[in-house]
Amino acid sequence: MVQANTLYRHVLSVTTDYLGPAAQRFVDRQIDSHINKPPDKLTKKDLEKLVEWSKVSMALLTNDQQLVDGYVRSLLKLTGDEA
Amino acid sequence: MRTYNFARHKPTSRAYLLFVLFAVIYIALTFWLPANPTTLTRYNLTPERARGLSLAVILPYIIIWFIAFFGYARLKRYVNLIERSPDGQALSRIANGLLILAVGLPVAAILGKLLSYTGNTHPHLIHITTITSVYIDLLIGLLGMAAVYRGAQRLALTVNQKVKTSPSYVAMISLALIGTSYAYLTFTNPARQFPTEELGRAAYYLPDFLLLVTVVIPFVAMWYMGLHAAAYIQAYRRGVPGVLYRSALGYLASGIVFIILSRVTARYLTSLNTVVSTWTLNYLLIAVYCLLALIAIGFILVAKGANKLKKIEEV
Repeated sequence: MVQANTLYRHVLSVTTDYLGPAAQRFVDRQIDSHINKPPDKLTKKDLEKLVEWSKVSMALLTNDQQLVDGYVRSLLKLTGDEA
Repeated sequence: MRTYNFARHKPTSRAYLLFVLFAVIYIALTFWLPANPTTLTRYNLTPERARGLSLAVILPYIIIWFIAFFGYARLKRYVNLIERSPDGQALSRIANGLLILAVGLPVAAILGKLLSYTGNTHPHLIHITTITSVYIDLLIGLLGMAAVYRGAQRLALTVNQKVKTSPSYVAMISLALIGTSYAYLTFTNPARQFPTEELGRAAYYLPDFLLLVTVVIPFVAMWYMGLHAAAYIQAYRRGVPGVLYRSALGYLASGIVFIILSRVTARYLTSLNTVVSTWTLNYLLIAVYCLLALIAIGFILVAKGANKLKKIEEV
């Protein structure tokens, strides 16, 4: 599923801007825990749910709401890119 | 059901057990060994008052040791979560270096007490006990700092294969200032090889050549590794992506700098033994507390940084 892999890579790229080397572990954990599928099977349909859970997790790491909102906006843009 | 991963937490549990063991030994030695008669005379103390004052030193020492072991344990817990990753392996080396430095605190204190007692009760051995004490302190510092340095270098290489291996100008100038001033203080210390009238004990009991080659140069080398390690961690922090990750890493980097500073300060105080010996007890205690505070700040920052980094791996 080339499209899912691309989507996963884009999610990783966005998350890396915030979590650096921990990005892949973070994203894999969110997908595994809340989407219940392997990361390379991520689809656009899963993305909204992933964004919701990632927003909650990111909010636990920082009090900077602007930063969290920026992360969410960047992830939501991917739904538009995939359309 | 979540189960407690004993294997993963073994190293940190062992570290706390070590702390308890060292604390018990140190307290026992403090109250069991008789006070140094020279110290009693110099500060006009009775043995009972000396024991009471010992508490004023023991308790902060033990608190600082706990903080040091706590800082290491927090970092190790984080490293255990990411041990398979390149940054995890590099941070594991740094953690091992901090463990050596943490263990070195009580080991140096306990051995110092035993050697001091041996030197006082067997004056013909005082030069051996003094030299042994200096070399143990040096060995612990070198091993710990070398591990931190290797880990920091590896860490920097994970983001930039072309990371500069030569230190920055600021680091070089700092090292030159610290090294030359330390050498100056050491070689102008009238009590460096032989005791003086005021001091019943020399600082090193070594001829100048051996002092230079086996003490001064190795200590400067240790500080070089420490400064360079701090520079590598800064280079890693600059090159690594992730605004939240970098923020957490900043605490770790600052902590390591404070720990390095504390070792430099401790060594400076030793080289100033003729000056320090003229201080009143109050000033001496203040100096000890300031040094302990530096160490504590370092390890607290390490623990704080490790906690923040660990949280990223758990949410």
